[in-house]
Amino acid sequence: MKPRRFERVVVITIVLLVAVLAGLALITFQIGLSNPQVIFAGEAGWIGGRGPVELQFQQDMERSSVESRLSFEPGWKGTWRWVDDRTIRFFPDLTLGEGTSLKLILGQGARSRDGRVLRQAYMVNLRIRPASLVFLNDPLVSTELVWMNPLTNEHQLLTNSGGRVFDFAVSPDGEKIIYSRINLRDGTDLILINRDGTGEKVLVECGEFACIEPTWTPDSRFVAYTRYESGLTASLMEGIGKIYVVDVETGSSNLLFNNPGLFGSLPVFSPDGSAVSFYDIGEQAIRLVNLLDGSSSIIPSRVAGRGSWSPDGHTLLVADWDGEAAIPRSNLFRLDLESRSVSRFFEETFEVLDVSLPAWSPDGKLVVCAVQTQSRQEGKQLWLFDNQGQPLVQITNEPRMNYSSYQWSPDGKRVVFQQVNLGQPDDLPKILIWQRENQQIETLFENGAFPQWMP
Amino acid sequence: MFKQTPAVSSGWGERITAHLPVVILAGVLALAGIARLQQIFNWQIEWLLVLSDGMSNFSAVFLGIFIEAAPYLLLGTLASGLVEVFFSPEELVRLVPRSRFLAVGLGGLLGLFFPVCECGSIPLARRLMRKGVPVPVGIAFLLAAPVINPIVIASTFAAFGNTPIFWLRFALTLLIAVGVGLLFLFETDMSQIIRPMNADLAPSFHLDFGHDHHPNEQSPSLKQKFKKVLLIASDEFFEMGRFLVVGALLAALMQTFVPQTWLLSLGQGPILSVIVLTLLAVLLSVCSTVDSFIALAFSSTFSTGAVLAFLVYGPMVDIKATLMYLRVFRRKTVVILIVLPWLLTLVASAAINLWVR
Repeated sequence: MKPRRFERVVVITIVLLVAVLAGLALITFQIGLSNPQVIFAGEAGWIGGRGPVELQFQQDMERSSVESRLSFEPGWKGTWRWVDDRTIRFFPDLTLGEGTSLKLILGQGARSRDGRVLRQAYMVNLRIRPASLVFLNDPLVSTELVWMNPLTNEHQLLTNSGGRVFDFAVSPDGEKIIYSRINLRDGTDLILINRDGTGEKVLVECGEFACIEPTWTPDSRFVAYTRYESGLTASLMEGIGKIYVVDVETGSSNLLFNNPGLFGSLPVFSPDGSAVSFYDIGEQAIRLVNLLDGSSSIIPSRVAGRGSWSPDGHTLLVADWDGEAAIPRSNLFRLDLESRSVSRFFEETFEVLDVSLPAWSPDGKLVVCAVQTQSRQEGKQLWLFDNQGQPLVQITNEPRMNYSSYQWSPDGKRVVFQQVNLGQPDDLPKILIWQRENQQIETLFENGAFPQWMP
Repeated sequence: MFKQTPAVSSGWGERITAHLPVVILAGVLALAGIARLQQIFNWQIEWLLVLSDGMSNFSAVFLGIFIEAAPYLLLGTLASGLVEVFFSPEELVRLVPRSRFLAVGLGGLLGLFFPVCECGSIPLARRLMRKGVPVPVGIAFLLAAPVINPIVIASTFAAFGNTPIFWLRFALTLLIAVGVGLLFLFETDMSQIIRPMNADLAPSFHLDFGHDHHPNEQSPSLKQKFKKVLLIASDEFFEMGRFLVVGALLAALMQTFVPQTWLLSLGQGPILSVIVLTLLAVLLSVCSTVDSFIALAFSSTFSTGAVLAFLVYGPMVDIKATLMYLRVFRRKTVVILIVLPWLLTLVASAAINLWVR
């Protein structure tokens, strides 16, 4: 029977639609996946020693197909985390030294959700930019933040706050700085700026409260800080604060723990961000909280201070009065987080009167610490120890001077620190740098304090 | 007031629905009995354990589909009754634009005045065609009304907000419905499209009052008219309700015993993902008023085009709607109503996957 007109039209339409569909399938096969884009905060190709490396795709991606094909050459251990279906970021375990060259590779075969496949491996060359310094200028009178290139001594103001900067913290990826600024009600607000001082944003307005002691999570996404509720000066004297955490992207701020009765200060995150330590004023101890399961433990310490995490996160060093010593003196104690055992950090023969919190080198093999060994009238001197507490080098030896605020450079080759003349209180604090290779010390800046490296 | 007219010989669809419920019910009861025995005697036989779990899922899914769809079927049959009683064929035909293209386009937008899902649009479309609305217009209405209506517009907006998916759902549905409707303009013999019982407008009852049959008689009162509306609606509800029950039973069986995870795992690629989600839409047989929220769950794992295909094709064709189509149209027409919208949805959605992000 001859097909009727309507039937012919329907059949032709179906055939046409099937042909179009086949054409689309062919196009799909040929188009493939567009190359992703590496997002650089500054100059193209340059990243900080701790990243971030951010890769953006034009399509929603099949996550596992991307994760399994991403690598660095030479290798760089760390974790890839998805921001959304099109953006993935790398968080390194170790900081790379400045000038290091590496290649980011996305192997062929990565797939988008709509089925496009990367036909050729994608590669991009990266270099670690030189680390710079950020510190407080004129800390006794009119304090502003200053950026400095330690190789050229070139420096510039990052803030224009009218001298009201109180304290600050550089993000681990070196892209942002958060600082506390004294407001008109004698409290402090938290302000966020880019690494070059641009993009100022009031992150947390605290009114008459003092929001200070900011500290970043390792992924540079959140900042924990202490909020003292009875004004800046009085609060610091009383030392009763509560720890809050703010999301730097959204600005939402909440108590770090759902326990309004928990007072604490000086929070520090573990290197992997899974735990936080802070000084628990009520317990007179450093409290260690596992953020994954909420469990906590306390390490008695009558010296209100931070704990210092080893880069592998297995050890926490804390200062406390040494109860066994004949005359009161402070000492460093090592908490082994795997065996939960506590021991003295320094060997028995190393006499200590007073000690500050140590700084671990990025590879975790060395520790710099300010120690008072001879007389209580002398300032604390900088010492280099191995990670078992064995003294290796006395870095400074000027009893009239007190040394503090020391920090290793991201490549572990230099230590920047602050010097104050105890004999001349009118003398301005100085920022100095110690080169590990030749053990030379040079002055970087007069009238500066609290230096921090910016990767 | 009304007199019975002889029923027209039963067709394939009717024979199916006459026997299927018995067969399915017997099967379901047998399975439920076996599952219950497994529970009583605690037989640790793997397939029996799976069956036992499956039966409780099955009853939940079946009730879910039926309860969700029944109110809309009732709404559709009520609308159908209202059309039958309050509009004469002449009045309806007068409302249809003279231009055939414009008329089909209008058919696609008629749903804005009839907030029904697919279960309700079928009896209403049948009624409109019975009353003289051209079949292509009825088909455009049938395919578009489950999406282009106020309730679905609101629920889609609630799920997706003012996003491309929201706008594309309506644009694509309208295009496909009108496109398929226009194709039916090529058919001059409408008896080839709709089943005889409907084509010759032979109802199982005939109203003994009307606008044209007895012009000299006194018009019935409003109360009488509403009584007629209810009579027509209840008659049609039970007539179509059979198909809804059978469709819901089949859909529940498919959902219970065809693993969706397996289906979803196939669904990658700009075309395959669209095919998978259209099949899933048929399988799930979810009412168009709530399908946006299910589609929203897929939006994190499937491409935009695939999610859109789920939202466009599902309301046009699913298991229960297909059985109801068989009550209205000839088998050949039902095949066309399944295949053409499917291919059009595939082409449009795949193109969106490729060129629109």
